[in-house]
Amino acid sequence: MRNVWIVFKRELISYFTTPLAYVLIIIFCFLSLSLCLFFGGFIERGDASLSSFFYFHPWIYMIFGPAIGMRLWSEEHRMGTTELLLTMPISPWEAILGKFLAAFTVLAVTLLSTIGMVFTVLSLGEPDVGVIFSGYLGSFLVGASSIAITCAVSALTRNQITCLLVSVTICLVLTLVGFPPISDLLRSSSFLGIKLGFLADICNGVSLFWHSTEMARGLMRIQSLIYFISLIGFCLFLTSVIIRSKRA
Amino acid sequence: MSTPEQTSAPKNRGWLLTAVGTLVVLAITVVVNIIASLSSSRVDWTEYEVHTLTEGTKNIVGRVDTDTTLKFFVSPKDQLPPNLRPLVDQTDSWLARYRELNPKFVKIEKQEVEPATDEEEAAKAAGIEPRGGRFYFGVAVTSLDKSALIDWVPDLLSSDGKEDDKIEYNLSRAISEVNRSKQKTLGLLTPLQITGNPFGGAQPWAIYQALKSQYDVKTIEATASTIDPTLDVVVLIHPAGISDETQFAVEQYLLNGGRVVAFLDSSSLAAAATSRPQPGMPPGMAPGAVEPASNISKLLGAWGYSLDTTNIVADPAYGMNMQGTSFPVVMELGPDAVGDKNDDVVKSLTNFFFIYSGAFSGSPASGLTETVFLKTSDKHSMVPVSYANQNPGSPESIRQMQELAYKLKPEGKQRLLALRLKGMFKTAFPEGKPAPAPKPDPGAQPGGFPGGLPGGFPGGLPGGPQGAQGESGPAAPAAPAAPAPEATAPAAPAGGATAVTPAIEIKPDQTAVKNPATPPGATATTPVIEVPATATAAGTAPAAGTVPAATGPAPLPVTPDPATAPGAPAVPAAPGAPAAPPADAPLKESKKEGVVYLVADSDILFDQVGPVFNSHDFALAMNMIDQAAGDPDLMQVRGRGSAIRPFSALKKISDDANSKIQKDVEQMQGELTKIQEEINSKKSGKERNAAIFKGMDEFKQQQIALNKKIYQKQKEARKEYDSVILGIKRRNLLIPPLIWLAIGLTVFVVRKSRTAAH
Repeated sequence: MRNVWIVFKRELISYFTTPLAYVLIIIFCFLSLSLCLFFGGFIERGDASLSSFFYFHPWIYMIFGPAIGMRLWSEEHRMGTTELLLTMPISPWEAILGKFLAAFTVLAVTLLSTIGMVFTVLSLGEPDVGVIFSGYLGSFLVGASSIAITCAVSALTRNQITCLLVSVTICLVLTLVGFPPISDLLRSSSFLGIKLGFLADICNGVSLFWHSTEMARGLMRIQSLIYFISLIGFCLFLTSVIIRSKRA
Repeated sequence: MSTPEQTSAPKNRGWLLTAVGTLVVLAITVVVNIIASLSSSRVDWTEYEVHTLTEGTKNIVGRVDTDTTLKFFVSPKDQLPPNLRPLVDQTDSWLARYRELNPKFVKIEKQEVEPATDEEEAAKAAGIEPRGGRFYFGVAVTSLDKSALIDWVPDLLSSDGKEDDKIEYNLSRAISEVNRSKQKTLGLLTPLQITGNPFGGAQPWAIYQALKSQYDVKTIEATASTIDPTLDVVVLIHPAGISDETQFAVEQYLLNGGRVVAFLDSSSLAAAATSRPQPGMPPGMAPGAVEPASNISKLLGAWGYSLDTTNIVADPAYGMNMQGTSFPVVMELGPDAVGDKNDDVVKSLTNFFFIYSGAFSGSPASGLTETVFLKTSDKHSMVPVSYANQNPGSPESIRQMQELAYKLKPEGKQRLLALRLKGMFKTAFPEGKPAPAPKPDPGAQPGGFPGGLPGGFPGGLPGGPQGAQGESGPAAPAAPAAPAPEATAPAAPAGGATAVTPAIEIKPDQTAVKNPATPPGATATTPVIEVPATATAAGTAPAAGTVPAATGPAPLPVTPDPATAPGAPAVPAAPGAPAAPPADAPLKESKKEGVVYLVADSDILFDQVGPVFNSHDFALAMNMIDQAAGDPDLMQVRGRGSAIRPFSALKKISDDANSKIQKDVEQMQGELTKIQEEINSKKSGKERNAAIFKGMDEFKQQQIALNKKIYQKQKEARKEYDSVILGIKRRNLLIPPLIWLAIGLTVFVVRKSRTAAH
C-alpha cells in the first residue's frame, strides 16, 4: 500500500502543478451547473431535488473522465518513463492503482466543488437527502468508470489525443445504449423477423446512463453496484495486462 | 543458438495465454453481471423508501394461501406510444417483486395483446378494455372464482418513479380483495351523491369505489334511529341535516364500543355540487339540496369539541397560490401541519389539500384521549363562510382573497383539522332518546322524483312538482327508497324550483349559506333539509308512512349495499350478533372503549377536489377508516413517499413580495372598479350624448393608466423574486469556478516565485 500511496501522491501533485486540473475542474463546474440551472429547469421545476443536476452527469463524464485520465499512461509512454517506473520496486498493480486513485481524487474534488447546490436546495425546500446522497454516489461511480476506461485506453497509446478520442467514443457508446430513445428504437425494431426488445434490456444493463439514472432517483440496485465495480475492475485488469505485455 | 522461430514460439504462446486469460476474466465479469441482473436486491435511499415494498404488502402477500395469478395484459411495446413503453418494464419489475414475496402461490402471466388474437379475447374476458380502442395495459388479479382489475396501469406509474406507491397500493388491494374470505362491514351515512349520478352520468366517487372493493358497505339512512352494532366501522361523510334521533343512534353505536369516522365540513363544495341540478337530469328530479355545514354538534359537544359552522379556516401559512394570489382558505398543508407523526394514520403522509375547511376547537372530555393528526398554524384566522367562493381562482375569488389579506388577524393558536378520540364516551343525550322529529303532513306528496332517487338519502329538499312544500309548510318527508345502486344519492326530490335554480349562492357578510331554493322567508341559517324521523326502531320502522307504494320498501336503519344486493330489503342485525340496546334503555356511557375520527373538511373525499390535486387526502381518509376497522396492512401501502417537495422558501419570497404590493394594487383595483361602474352607468343612462362619451374617453384613459400602474407594481414584486432567483443562479454558477481559479492562480504564483528564487 505504501507504494500505491507514493504513486498516488506523485500523480496527484503532477495534476495540480499544471493548469490541467484547474482548467478541467472549472469547466466541469461551469458546465454541470449551467446545464442544471439553465437547461435542466432546476428552479422552474419547483422540485426540491437535484435530479436535473445529476441527469447531465453521464454526458459530462463522457468527456471529463477521458480528459482527466488520458495522460495516465500515455504520458509515461511518450516520455519513455514507463519502463523506469516499472523497474522500481513496485508492482504494475500498485502503479495502476496509484494512478487511478489520483485521477479519481481529482474527479472527487471536482464533484465536491458542486456541494453548494446541495446547500441551495436545502435552503429552498426540504429535499430527500437520501436521494441526493445516492445521486452523488452514482455520479462518483460513473466518473470512476470513465476514468478506468480511459486508464486502459491510455495504456495502449502514447498519443493523448488518440486516447481521448477512443475513450470518449467508448464512454459515448456506454452512455447512449441506455438512453431511452435508443432503447425504444431497439424495442420497436426487428431483424430477420426477430424482435430486438431483448437487446434493449442488455443495453440497459451495460449502460452508464441507465445505472446512473437509477441511482439518481435514490435506488441502488445490487446489479448497478456490481456493474460499476466489475467495469472498473476489468478496465484496471486490462490496463495491467497491457502494461505487462508492453514490458514483455 | 536459438533460431528466430524458436524465440517467437514462447512469445506467441505468451500472447495467446494473455489473450485467453483476458477473455476468461471478461467472461467471468459478464456472467457475474448477468447473475446480478437477475437479482432484485436493492438499497432504497429515499426517505420514505418509495422503491421498497412495504410491510403491509409483505403481510398481505405473505398471507396468500391459494393460487393467485397476476395477469398482465399489455399491447406489444412497439405498438404503444413512446411515453408508455418504459412503464412496461416498471410494471414487470413490480409484478416480479410480488412473486418473489410468495413464489408458491403468486403467479405472473404476461400476455402481449395483438389485435384480433386469442390474447385479445383473453384480455376482454378478464375485463381489461383497451384505451383509445387500441392500447391494452392492465392487470387482472384472480384467485379461485374471484377477480380484481387494474384496467389501466399507466395511471398509477410515472416515468420518474415518484408515484410508485400507487401501483403498489392497487396491486396489494387487488390481492387482498381476491383472497379475503370475509369482508368487514362498513356503515355509510351521507347525503352526498358519492355513488354517482345516474342522470348526469357522474361516476361513483373514488372513495366509494375504494370502500366497496375493501368492505361490505351498508348504507345508513339519515333517518336511522338505530345502527347495527355489528358494523365494524361507521363512516359519516358530511352528515348535514341529520336529526337528533340519528345522532343518538350514532352515539349508541359508539357507546357499544363502535368506531366512527366523521368527515365534517363548514362549507362543503360537494354539498353544493350535489344540490346543483345535474345535466341530463329530467326536470323536477333534482336531488335535494344539502346544507353546506355538517351537523353533529350535540355529539361533538359531548366529546368536548365544537365545529364552527359559520366560519372557515384562512391560514396564510398554507395558502395556495393561484394566479399570483394567495388563497388562505384553500390550504396546501405540509409536514408542519401534521400532529402525531408517529401514528400510522399520518406516518409518511406529508401533503394535504383542505379547501374551505372548518376547524375544531375544544379539548377531550374526561375519559377520552386525543391524537391530533392535522392542525392549522398559529397564523390562521376564522373567516365567514362567504369567502368560500364556488369558483376558486376566478377573478371574483381573487378579488375576495385580496380583500381578505388585510382583514386576517392571526389567532396566535392552532386549531385542529383532523384528530382521533379514544376512550370511554359519555352520552350527549342524558335525557334519553330524543323525540322523533314531527311526522310529515300525510297529505303532502313527495315531490320530484317519485320516492327520491332509489335507495337515496331521504334528506333532500322536500317539495316537488306537486308542491309538497309550501312556502310556510313543513317539509314533506323524503321518500324512503328502495335499495338500488344509488343508495346514498339524495333521495328527496327537490321541488321544481330546486331543480332549476342554482344551488348555492354565497353572499358576503352572511353567516351562513343561503339556498335560493329555500322558500322566501327562510333565513340563511334555517336548515334547508328537514329530516323527518320516520323510523322508530330498528327493523320495524315504517317507511315514511305516507309514501306511495311505488317508492319501494320502507327504509331500514341499515340497508345492504345496493350495488351488491340490488333491490334487496334491508339487512337486519346479523344473527348471533350482540343485540342493540333496547330503545328504552339507552347507554349513558361507553360499555367498551370507542374510537372516533374527526376531520374538519369533507371535501378531501370529493373527487373534484381532493384527487385532482396531488395530495395525501385520500390516503388520510382510507387510513383512518382502515385503522378504525382494524385493517392495518393497506394503511402502510398508501400514500408512501412525498411526491411533492416544493421550494417552500421561494414560495414564501413570492408571497411576501405579493403581500407588499397588495395594498397598493387593491386600492388601484378599487379605483378601477369605480371607473368601470361609472362607465357602465353612463352607458345605460338615457342622457347619452357627446359630452358623456367624451367623459367616457377620459375614464378609459384613466383605466389604462391605472392598469399600467398595477402592472408596474406587479412587475416590481416580480423583480424581487427574480433577483433572488438570479442570486441563486449566480452564486452556484460562479463561486466554485472562481474558487478554483483563485487556487490555481495562487499555486501558479507560488511556484513561479519559488522557481524565480532558485
